Amino acid sequence: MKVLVCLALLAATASADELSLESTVRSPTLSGSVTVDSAEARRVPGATGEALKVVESLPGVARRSSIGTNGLVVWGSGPADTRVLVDDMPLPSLYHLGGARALVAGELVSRITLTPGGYGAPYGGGLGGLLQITTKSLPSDGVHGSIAVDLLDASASLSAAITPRLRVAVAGRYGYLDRVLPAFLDAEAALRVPTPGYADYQLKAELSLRSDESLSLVYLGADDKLARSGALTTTPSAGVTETERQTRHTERLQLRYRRVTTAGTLDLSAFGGWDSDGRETTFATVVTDRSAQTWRYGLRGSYRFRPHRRVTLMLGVDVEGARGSLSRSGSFTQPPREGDPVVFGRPPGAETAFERYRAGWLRAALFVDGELRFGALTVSPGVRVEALILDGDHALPDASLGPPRGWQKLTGAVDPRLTVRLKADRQLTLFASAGLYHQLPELGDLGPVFGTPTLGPSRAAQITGGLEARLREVATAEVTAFYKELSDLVTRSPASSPSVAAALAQDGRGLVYGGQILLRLQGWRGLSGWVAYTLSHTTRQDHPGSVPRPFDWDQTHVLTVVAGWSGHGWSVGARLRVATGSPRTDVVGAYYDAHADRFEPRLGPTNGARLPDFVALDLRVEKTFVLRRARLTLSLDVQNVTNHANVEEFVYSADYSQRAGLTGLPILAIAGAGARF
Amino acid sequence: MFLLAVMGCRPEVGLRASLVTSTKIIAVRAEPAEVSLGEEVALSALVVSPTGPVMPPIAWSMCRTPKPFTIDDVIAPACLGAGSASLGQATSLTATVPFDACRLFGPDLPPTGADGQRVRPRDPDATGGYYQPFVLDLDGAQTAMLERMRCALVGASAAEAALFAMRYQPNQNPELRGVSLSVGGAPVDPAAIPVGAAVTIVPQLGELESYIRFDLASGSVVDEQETVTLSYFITAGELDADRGSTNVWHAPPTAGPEWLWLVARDSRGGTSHLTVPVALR
Repeated sequence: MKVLVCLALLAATASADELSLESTVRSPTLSGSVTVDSAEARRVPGATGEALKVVESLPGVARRSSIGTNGLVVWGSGPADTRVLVDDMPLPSLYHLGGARALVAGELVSRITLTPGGYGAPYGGGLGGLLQITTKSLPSDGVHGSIAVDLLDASASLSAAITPRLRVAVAGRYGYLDRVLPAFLDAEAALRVPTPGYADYQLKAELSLRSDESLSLVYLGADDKLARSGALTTTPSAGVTETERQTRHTERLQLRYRRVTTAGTLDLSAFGGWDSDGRETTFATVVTDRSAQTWRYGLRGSYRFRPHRRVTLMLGVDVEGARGSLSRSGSFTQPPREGDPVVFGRPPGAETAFERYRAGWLRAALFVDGELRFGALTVSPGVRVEALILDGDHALPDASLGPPRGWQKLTGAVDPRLTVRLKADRQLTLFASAGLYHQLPELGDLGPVFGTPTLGPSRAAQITGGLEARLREVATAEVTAFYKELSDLVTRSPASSPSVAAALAQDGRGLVYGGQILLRLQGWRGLSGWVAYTLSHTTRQDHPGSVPRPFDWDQTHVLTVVAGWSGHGWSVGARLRVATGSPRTDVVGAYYDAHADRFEPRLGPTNGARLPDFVALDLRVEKTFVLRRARLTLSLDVQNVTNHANVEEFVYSADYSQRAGLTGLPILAIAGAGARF
Repeated sequence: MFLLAVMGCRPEVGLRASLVTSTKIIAVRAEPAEVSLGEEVALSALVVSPTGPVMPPIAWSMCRTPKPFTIDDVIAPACLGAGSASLGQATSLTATVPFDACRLFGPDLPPTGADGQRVRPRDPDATGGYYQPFVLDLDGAQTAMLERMRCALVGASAAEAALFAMRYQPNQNPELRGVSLSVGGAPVDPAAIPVGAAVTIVPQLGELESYIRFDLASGSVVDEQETVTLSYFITAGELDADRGSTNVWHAPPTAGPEWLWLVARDSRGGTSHLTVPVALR
């Protein structure tokens, strides 16, 4: 048994509402959506005090591998399909590289809302879920702050009411695990273990104008770097090294105006931002290098008003764009796409190519979202009409020897949405929703060599239905069924010799169906928590006529139980997670490659096998002391208490004749303390 | 936290590739190491067993099916079956690289595909090379080998293409001149190695070749130097590593004859090997 006990000073994040363990989970406003206050989220065991990691414990979310993706997989949609919005401003991902922390520190977060699907016309641009992070309203008087240090990072925040109308807050975090970890590892392991370094910083300013007006400015920034080197492929003793270096930089600036009057609510916002991504991997002589610098911008305005006592309308415009400069060289299959038959540790193909191009897209939408109330029945129809423009400067590769020729594509989409809610009685509400959704291709898929410049939007049709029941004043139950059909998905071209500038095709389809149950207890004798169970089945058909296969992250059963009790300054909690293992492609044989002196696997059906089921129990104990103006918090977070050996990947012998499991987190205890004023 | 999952939790599965426990092919040498279309190439396999080198009949075939560019394999999976043309049974043989090899496995594609669009040229490897694949079958265990061939240059201007044609030198197999063995810093005779000794192996390589390749990113011809990877195989004991410029063999504690093989592979596909019979006393 491997036991790691890490002593750390954790962020002193207790606030007045945290002192009570009473759950502050809010009632859903959309079908299947869940809202969690950040104070509650920080106390979820296993999250080590990181508020946004609560998302992993919500229904509809597939368990995230401790080795694989940093993104969210919601209701059978890939990580790039779920939108992450901070005050309606999109972020490229929820987590820093490595997934230990979120891009936005919890100090400025008020609440987190996850809508796995079926959301209304005000939002678009994604086939999957919608994760909305709402920043806090700043304190109207005084100076407040916090400082924290732990094994992973140091963070601080400060907020002040500069004048009665102007409030400002800043927060920042600096991760130093890449410097600390080598002290705990031998030299070889220090090279082999991917050690992320990260930093994030935020600023929020609020200005009260007239009594019904407010202006706010939010700035977010994040830096990431991750490096790994060593023999992480099939057999360490083979002496073949692999290195990986990844960097990411994100900045966002948003200005937001809101006016609330008796006539209606006006929201106006504009944002601009910059993303920079770089990733270089080397395996023997094969070097793969990707980089992208992307400007992002958007404008959004909405007006919500009540033209009739039974009718509420929201009219809005939503414009978003991206323009990037991208380059890529190296193996075509690195990094792998969803649906690629991946064998962990297998070197990429030896053929190399190169592309460099600029591309962009603009999505301009008008939307109408209504709410019509007829007694117990509420009907919410909406429609979103989008004009989509894509363009680039390379319709063909440079190797074509002609002068670079640009391209442009103009298309549109009309996405109707409908939600119906019937309040059957005081305790029971029935709901159903249906809608169409579109998502533009990623800029990285629009290259003339590794991609296809003529790609258009992918589509999804979503239907959900269910019921919400308030069992007592403190308990609720929600049952949601969902069905999604995905079409025009971007996949690799099936042709052995595809046309120039057509390495990707857009004829993939997907099918997702299932159901989820959420039982919540909201503060009964100090007890709170929830039980979330999702049953789902997700398949992809890469091309017409091809055999449907399981989705890369298809997890049939995902069960999460979160329970906590608080009282007398104490807070204790537990989290149990059980999930079906994700699909993997089986190895059915191998042949020797005398050119490279290694074996190549012969593969079974794509995603025809599965990892073993995942089981983990996490515990958290927290004690808060009140010391004049400050609060002192001591905590102990223990992950995987039973030290269950969860297999995160299959690894193979050099000749692929034997298989073993690469296991994830062993039991891990993190003790912490902190203070806040 | 994911990094902690990797830390110390990765098992090394199965026997070391360097330990010869059954009859198997460990190298295939082609002479010359690079050919033009229509040229003959002499192919020979190094087959080893726990009792030393052997020369069993091997079923040779020439791959005739292009590899889909979306897979990691070195050859098309179809070439392990019906996608290859049989060449006969032998330990070594001579084959002719067909004139259409650069069309099947290189950049010489038909002007348009079935849909009437121009076809994407195949990508070279990191050294700019294209290869004709061969498949060897030894009692059901299959081996793929690649013979480098000279194909047209893609994406270069006329000036760069002319410069490339003028300066290009075909690849040669690496020169593996010999190997020196020592124990405790003192040279040791392969015929008289102490049992249980830690034997340092230092291969003697010839001069590394320089070569040119066309770099798509800069659109120019660039100079490169080959790298050579050395693989080691033994019939008993244990090596510090399966590959490396030098190595240490921890000889078994029992006296008797054993075998050591070294295989040198250069980055452009050339191969040489050395068989060293040793006696433990």
